[in-house]
Parts: sequence; C-alpha cells; structure tokens
Amino acid sequence: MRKFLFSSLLAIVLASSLPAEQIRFLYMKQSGYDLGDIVARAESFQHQTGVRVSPVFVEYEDRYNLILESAARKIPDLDLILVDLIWVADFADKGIIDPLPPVLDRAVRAGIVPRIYTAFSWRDRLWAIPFHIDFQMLYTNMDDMRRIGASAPPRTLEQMVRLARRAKAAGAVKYPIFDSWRQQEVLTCEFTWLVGAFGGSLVDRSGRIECDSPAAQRALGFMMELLGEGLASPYSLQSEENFVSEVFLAGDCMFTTNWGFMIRLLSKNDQPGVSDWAVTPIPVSETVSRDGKGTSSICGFEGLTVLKGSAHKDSAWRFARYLASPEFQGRHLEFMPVWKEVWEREEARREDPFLAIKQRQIAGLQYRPVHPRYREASAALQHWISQALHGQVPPAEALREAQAQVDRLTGGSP
Amino acid sequence: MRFRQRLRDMKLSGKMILFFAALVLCQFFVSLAVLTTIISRTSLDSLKARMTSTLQGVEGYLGETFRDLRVKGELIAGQKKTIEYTDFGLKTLLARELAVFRESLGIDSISVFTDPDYPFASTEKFASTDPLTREELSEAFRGDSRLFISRGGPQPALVVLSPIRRADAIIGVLSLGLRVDEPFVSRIEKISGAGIVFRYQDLSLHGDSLTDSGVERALSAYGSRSEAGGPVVFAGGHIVGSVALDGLGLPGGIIFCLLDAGETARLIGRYNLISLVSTVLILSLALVSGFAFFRRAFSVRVQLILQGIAKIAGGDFHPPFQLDWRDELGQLASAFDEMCRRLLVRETELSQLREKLALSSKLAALGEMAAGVAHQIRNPLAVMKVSAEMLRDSFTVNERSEKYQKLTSLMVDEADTLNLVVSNFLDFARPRKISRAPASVAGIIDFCLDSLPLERFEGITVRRAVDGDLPEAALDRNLIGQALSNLILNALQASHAGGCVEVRAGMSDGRLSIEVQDWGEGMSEETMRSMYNPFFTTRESGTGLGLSIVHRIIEGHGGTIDVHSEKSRGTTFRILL
Repeated sequence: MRKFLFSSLLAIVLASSLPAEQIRFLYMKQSGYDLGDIVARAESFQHQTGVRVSPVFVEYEDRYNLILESAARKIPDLDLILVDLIWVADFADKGIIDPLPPVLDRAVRAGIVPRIYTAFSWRDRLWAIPFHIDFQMLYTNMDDMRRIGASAPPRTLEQMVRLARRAKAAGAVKYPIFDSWRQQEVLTCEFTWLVGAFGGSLVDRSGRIECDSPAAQRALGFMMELLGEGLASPYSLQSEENFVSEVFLAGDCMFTTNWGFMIRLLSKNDQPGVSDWAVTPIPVSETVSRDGKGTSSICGFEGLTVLKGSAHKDSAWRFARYLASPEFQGRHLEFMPVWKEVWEREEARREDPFLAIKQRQIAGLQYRPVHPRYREASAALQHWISQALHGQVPPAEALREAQAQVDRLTGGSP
Repeated sequence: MRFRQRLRDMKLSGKMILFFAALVLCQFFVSLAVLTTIISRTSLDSLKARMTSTLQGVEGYLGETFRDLRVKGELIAGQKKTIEYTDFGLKTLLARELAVFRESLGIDSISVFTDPDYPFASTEKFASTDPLTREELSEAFRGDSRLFISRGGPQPALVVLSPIRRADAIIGVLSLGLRVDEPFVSRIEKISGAGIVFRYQDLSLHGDSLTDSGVERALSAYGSRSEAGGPVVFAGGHIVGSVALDGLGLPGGIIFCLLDAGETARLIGRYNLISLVSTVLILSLALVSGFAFFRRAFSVRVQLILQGIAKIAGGDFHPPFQLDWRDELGQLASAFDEMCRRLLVRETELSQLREKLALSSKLAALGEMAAGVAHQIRNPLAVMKVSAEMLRDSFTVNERSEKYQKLTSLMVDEADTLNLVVSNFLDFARPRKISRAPASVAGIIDFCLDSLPLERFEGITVRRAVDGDLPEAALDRNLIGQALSNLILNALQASHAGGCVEVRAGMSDGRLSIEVQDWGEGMSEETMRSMYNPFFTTRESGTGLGLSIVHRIIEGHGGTIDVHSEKSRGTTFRILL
C-alpha cells in the first residue's frame, strides 16, 4: 500500500515538473490575418489544451528555404507550417509533409468547396487545410468609364478591349490597362487566368504541364496586342502587384486585375485619384462565353500542414484545425473565409458586400500546375513570356521554347 | 581796451585758466569738426561699400537661386519615376511625386508637360498655358532648358523648363515655378538687407521696406544719373545700385537695391551727437581736472611762496618754507629758505658790527674827552712831580727826614702812576697810526719779556716757545709789542705764585699765531663778554683799558683775537695775523 502511494505521488510530481508540449508554427508576415490575431489564437489554444504554440513569422521569400532546412533535420524544429499551394506537390513529393489525417480530410471535403481544397490536392490526396484564400478580380475605374459614356464594367475580354480603346482615343487615360506582368510568379498567375479566359489550362488532361496550347497562344497574343495597341501600359512589364494597386488608386488606369487586398485599399483610399470603382469577376473571351457569364481567375491560397518529421503531429494538426476553424474565420470576415457554412451566415454577407461576387469568381478559378517541379517550370514560363512581351522573341517561339524547357524539367510527366 | 586792461590786471592763475579754457574750446571745435568729417565720410564710404557688397550678394543670390532652380529641374526631370510616370501616362502618381518634390525642395509649383498647350501633371490646377509659356515650352521640347518669367498664372513666376528625356527622345518638359511676388522680393530684401525693386518688362515689384513714392523718387533720380548696372549713386534720399539680369537669363530684367541714406544721415547725426557729448564731457573733465591740478600744483603753492616772501620782506629771515617739493617751485622755495638762512647769519653779524660801531663811537667820544682831560691833567701833574722831586732831593731834611723822604717818594711814584694812567688814556683815545715794517715776532716777544718788570712776580715762571723758522711779518712792532706786553702782564697778574705763563708763536693755516696762556683763576662768562669794554676791570688798580687797546691794535692789523678760558683752569689768548 505504501509502495503504491509513494509511486503515485512520484508520478504526479514528475508529471507536473515535465515541460509542457510545444509546437513551433511557421507563419508568413504578409499573410492577410493580423499577426496579433494569430498570437492570440495560439495563446487561446495553449489555454485550452496546455500545448504551447510558438509562432515564427518570416517573409514569404524566406519561407520555402526555412521549411526545407527544418525538414532536413532529424527532428524538424518546425511542426506546423503555412504552405503556398504551389509548394504542396513539391513538399509531398520530397516527403516533407504528410497528407491530411482522414478525419481532417473528410471535414475539409465536406465543409469547403472543391474549387478551394482541390488546390491542395496532389495524387488524389489533400496535403493542407485551406486557411487563407486569395484570387484576382477585375477592378474598373468608373470615373474613366463615365468619361467615355460607359456605365458597367466589361463582361468579356473583348468588351474590355473596346472600352479601353475608347478611353485611349478620348484621351481619358494614356494606357487604360495596367497589370503586373513583371518576370516573377505573378506573371505565371496572370498568364494562367488568361489561358483559362481563352478556354484552356496550363495542365492537360493527363496532368502534364502544357504551355503551348492554342489557348495559351491566344492568351499571349492577347497580351501582345494590348501592349502593341498601347492599351496596356508597358510599365506593367516591370510592375508588381502593390504598384499596380497604387496606379489604379491614383486613377491612372482604367482596368486592372489584382488580388483581394486591393478592395481594402480602395475602401480606405482618401488620396486624390479614383473616386468610383467597381470590382467584378474577371471576364473571359467571348469565344469561351458568349453570354458574358464566364469568369476566370487565379488562386493564391495558403494552407496549414504538418511536417512529416514533427514530434508533435497530433497537437500540430489539432492547432491547425483550431486556427482554420469556421469559428475563427467567422470572426475575421474582412478576409475571404474558406468554409461554406461561414459564407451562408448573414453577418458574412453584411460584412463583405463583395462576398457574392467573390463566390462567383471562385467558381472560375484556374490552377497553376500542381507538380513537384512547378517552381522551375514556372520560372521557365515566366522567362519566355517576358521575352515575348518585351518583343525579344516571337510569341509562338516563346511558348514553344517554354514548353520544351518545361518538358525537359518534368520529363513530360504529370 | 578794457578787456586788455582787465587781462593785464588779472591774476596769473586767472590768466592761465582763461588760456586753458580757450585751448580746450579750440580743441573742442577742432575735434568736433574732425570727428564729424570722419564719421560722415566713413559712414558714407561704408554705405557705398555696403551697397557694392549688397549688389554682389543680390546678384550671387539670384544666380544661385536660378542655378538652384535649374539644377532642381534637371534633377527632377532625370528622376526614374518622373521619366517613367510621364512616359507611361501615370499622371496622378506623377502629380503626387511632384507634390513631394515641391514640398521637399521648396518650390512653388512643378508641372510636367507632354504638350506645350496644357500640363500633363501638375501640383497646381490650371487648364492651359499662356502664349509665352507655350513658346518657351516649344523651345524646351527642342531640348533647351529655359528660364523666363511667366505671366500666365495668377502670380508671375520665375519658371525653369527642363526637358524630360528617355533614351534620346524628349518625352516631356518639367516646369519648376518660383513665384515672383512681393514675398519673393522680400526674401531678397531680407537676405541683402537693402530695399529691393524687381523690374522685368512691365512687371515692377518692391519689398515691404519701400513705398511706391519712395521707389519712384529714388529710381527717377537714379535713372537720370546712371544706367542700369552702373555705379552706386545717391538718389532720392537713397544710395542706389542695380543688377542687370541679362546674364542670369532674364534679358531686360533689373534689380535695384536701395539703401536708405536718411537712416545713415540719422546715424551720422547720432554718432556726431555722441561724439559732441563725449568731447564736451572729456574736455570739461580736462578743464576741471586741469583747473584743480593748476590750483593744487601751482596757484596754491605760488600763493604760499608769496606769503613766505612777504614774511621775508617784513624782516623775518627764518626760512619760511622748509618744504619737500621736488619740482621747480620746490627748488624756488628751497632757494628762498637758503637765502633766509644766509640773511639771518648776516643779520647777526650786522648786529654785532652795529654794537661794535656804537662802542667805537662811544669810545671815540670818550677818548676825545679823556684826551682833553688828560692833556689838562698832565701838565699840572708834571709840575707836581717835579716839585715832589725837588722837595725830596734838593732840601735838607731834619730828624724826621726819613719819613719826609718816604712821603715825597710816594708822591713821585703816584705822579708816575697817574702819568701812566693818563698815557693809557691817550693811547686809547688817540690810537697811534699803524706803521708796518718787517719785523721778527720772536724779537718782539723777547723785547716784551725783557722790558716787563718780571721780578715783581716772584715765583711765576715765564716760558717762551717760538718756532725757529718763523718768517718776518709786516707789523707795527711797537703796537704789537704793546699788545703782547698787556697780555703777558695780565697773565702774570692772574697767575698764582709758583704758576707759569707761556708765550707761543708759530704758523697756523698760513697765518701767524701768537698765544699767551696762564694757569690762573680763569674768567667768568660775564667777564669774557665785557673784557674788551673800556674801563672794565676786575682789579682795583687797573684802568680797564688794556684789553681794549689790545683788541684795537689787533683789529688795526686786520687780525683776530680770541680767548679760551675756564674757571680755575686758566686763560689762553690767541692772536691770528
């Protein structure tokens, strides 16, 4: 009896003196949610579970290498990571991350629309919980529209071009269309939705990356025509998304496509510039959708996933689900929630007047190729498209070269 | 005449004060004139120099302003954002950039033109350009930087146009505007410290420090005297200079600088007043201190000296000053003191001489009278003596003849004594004329000692101590002998039995010295004071004429006689010839 009591007491003392379980969470500084909210969520989780969560905030550019370095350790110093959808196949192929546990997999598939969770799917498995979703939309300067007597944003790409021509001719704006076409990942994004707008995709039916499809040729041709006709600003070739937003806010262009952050900037803008603007789904070509209801866009999602070598997988998945829960997203409706149940809430529609438009846009989302060699393939594609846009290589040759280079990278396999 | 008379009658101190005051006044007027001239000339030269410096400063400032504007224009026109925003038609973003430049570079307006007719982007709101600006813009679009005054806006503006180039093409023109208005001119005024008038074509501006009428008056006067950019001149109450702006890119433009000469005149007046007051103060101080100094160092002391001299004049020969002054007046006072000392000595001597003269006169009268009496006495006395001798010698005497003999002899002796007395009286009353002849002093002494009745003085030794090499001297040997005999006889009479009388003769300091010394009773002070007086004697049988005769004989030879005597120690008479 004494031995039993002594053993029980010793166990209690040892248990109380053991350090609490801790998970390290890699998060991106530029992500939509406020970092304070993330920290508060981590503290709340610790309060409820006793598991301590230590967020590590880094720049987007540093994140990929940090994940690889951490995964290379015998026991990674990271447990949970915020992953860009374009890295999912890469990390899964390298064995860095695990697919979602079945319970989570089922919950995601049940609660989130396929257009969103499919972005994190590779080889029929889901590899991350969708957490922060963003996609491009069409922004229209209604001040310029009124100057040319137009009242509604374009419903097709061809209609957009016609409006641009009228604005240019009227001297309302020198270059009506301004986009981010600099040689970076954003160029792949723009090209991806344009290919979709012309009825194609960067991935064929077999899953192979396809750069030289007819739709791709038309997309690149479209970009070349806009530049050649002076409808799109040549400055687009060196502009990134933030500068594009400045140009639109200043009222120095009529149309642009950009990520969701621009809605918040426009809503808060108090500088001289555009006073009346519209946000609509990005239209597609009349050749694809004659009724003008078709949309195309590019998704830029971030998901939560756990490193394969983590010593605290269960706690990490628990915190991932806690963080990405409908309850959390329902309290931060300034960002697009991923859960269908949140979309249906009244307050969600009240807080975000563009929610319905966003839902429409989500229906037309295009995916960049999900491939382990995507980063290299995307870089090759950016290079050749940029060459064509700068007039250094004919468009057809550029796409041909891009395809050849991508094939060499991927071996032509999905 | 009256003034001259007064001046002549004025005290020396008054004259000196008057002279000093006149000198101070002269100095005052000379100083005032010199100071006024110097201050005026210096101030005006300084004003001209200041104007020259001001003109240089204004020209430099404008040149720097224009250069600065050009540099800023080229700087902004060369900015990547300026070029790209212009090239890509981002007018609002460009306007924002220009606004930033405007705020940070202190420029009034910045615009970018892609067309000469209207601005592409601007920090100001204006619809179109004026003809001059269009013309200048057209030049700038050909690649030339331009500087001109634009009159198209609400305010005239100094405008710099700088082409915006991309590669080799001019894609626009950047316009920098600096308002040329009264604050602009006031800034130049503030920097230069002068009144500024800016004129360009029909534009005329001046700063706050000037009035329209003042400007008009000064520039009208200036225009008639000098061309723009000419020398600095006085005009309309101002010192005016000008800077031509042709060289700075504004042909026909001119800036006039005006320095208020009235202010300078006021300053000169103030300086003159200060110098006047200070001169008056300094000279008054000099006058007062000079007067005080004169009074203390001269007037008072001269008065003191005058008082001293008055005392001297009053017969008080005691040194009246005895001061420790070291200067000339001190030396004068010391000289007076010394003079008084000497006068005092002479006065004493004179008094003695007067006494002697009175005594001599008295003795002379007494001598005359005594001589007459002696002459009347002597004849009967001789008859009486002869008669006594005949009674004693020629008649036979009886038993009582011895007594008869004694009485008649006594009569004869007494007659001799009376005769001697009478002879002395005659010698005293009618001194004999001194007949000098070379004589041996030793011989005179020996004769005296031989002729004196020394046997009468038993027990008294007479010693003779005469230098062997004594030269002969021109003396009246009889009178000197008589004097020595009297002295030796007195010494013998004063000596006690067993005593000694010593007669010494020798040379002393080139003079003949004869001393007669005894070791008898000596003389009292009173005796010494009266011993040369006639008829003064301490003996019952003496006539009191011996020493008087000795004194007269020695003085008659130009010599001196003095005596040294101590009670109970004896007496020494010393004759110096």
